[in-house]
Amino acid sequence: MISAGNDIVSLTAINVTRTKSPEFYQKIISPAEKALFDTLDQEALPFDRFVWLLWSVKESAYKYLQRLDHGIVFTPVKFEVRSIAIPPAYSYTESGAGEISGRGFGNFSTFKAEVVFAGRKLFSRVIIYHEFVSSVVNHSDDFEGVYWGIKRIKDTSYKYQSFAVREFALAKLKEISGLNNLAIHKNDEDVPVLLNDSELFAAPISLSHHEQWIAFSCQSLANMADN
Amino acid sequence: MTRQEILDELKKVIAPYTTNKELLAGITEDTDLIKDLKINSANLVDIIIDAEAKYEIEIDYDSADKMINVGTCLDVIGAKINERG
Repeated sequence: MISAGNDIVSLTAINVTRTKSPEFYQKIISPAEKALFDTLDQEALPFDRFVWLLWSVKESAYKYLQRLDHGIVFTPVKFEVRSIAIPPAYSYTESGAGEISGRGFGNFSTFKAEVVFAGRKLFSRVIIYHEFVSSVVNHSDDFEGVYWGIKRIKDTSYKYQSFAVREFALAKLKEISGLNNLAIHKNDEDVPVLLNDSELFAAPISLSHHEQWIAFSCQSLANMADN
Repeated sequence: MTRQEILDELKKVIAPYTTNKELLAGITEDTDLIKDLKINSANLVDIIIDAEAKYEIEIDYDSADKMINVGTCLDVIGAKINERG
């Protein structure tokens, strides 16, 4: 069954000094993942960004799998990132206009990480700018069926973040699908679901927000756009 | 420490990570850290680390898994304080 999982972390909101302390990062990454870091180009991926990249991928994977199995508990070290591919000649840039979106990631320079939980492997694409790290996971390494978006907001209250990420996602998905009666609700398991004319729509959606950033991902929209 | 004393200190640990100060003041054992206090998941590790320092305990992964609401936080912290002796 196809699911959806995404995450965003505001890098301007995290404590870099604390991130680098073993007592902190050992709650997130395993010794094997620390060993993986030691094999990477650390100029292209400094340790604090590595830690939050892993956090984000693990959180996205948890969301993806939790939709399928509500009993899963999020223990970061139990989600194992086994490989990371750094995009060639990567340089961190500002986010510019503060809004990006797409279908797949063909036009974007992304990190690629594989993550395993309980024998299940998921694939990810990760965008890192100066201000944020944002990830999307998928059951296969083909992201062409994945729609996603990231946007900066001014009001960082929880209530506004929650409203804004829904408004942003719906605007994009309505534009893609031509369906004007889409809505996002939370189901009995507290998971966001997409509705069309109040009927459950078979396109799993994932939402995330942190401080001044909101993000969404949605799977199977190719089917949706064909409707 | 009594359960009430642990709770009083726990409120101070949680305070920097929630904007819902009104609900924090009136939390109960059923108050959920993420759903009710709107704590971002990225801050959950901060809360674990701060709790370890505050109560001079070590919270392992399996114990941290249980810290979903205020009541389970008090259970875990109380048990770790007892283990510490």
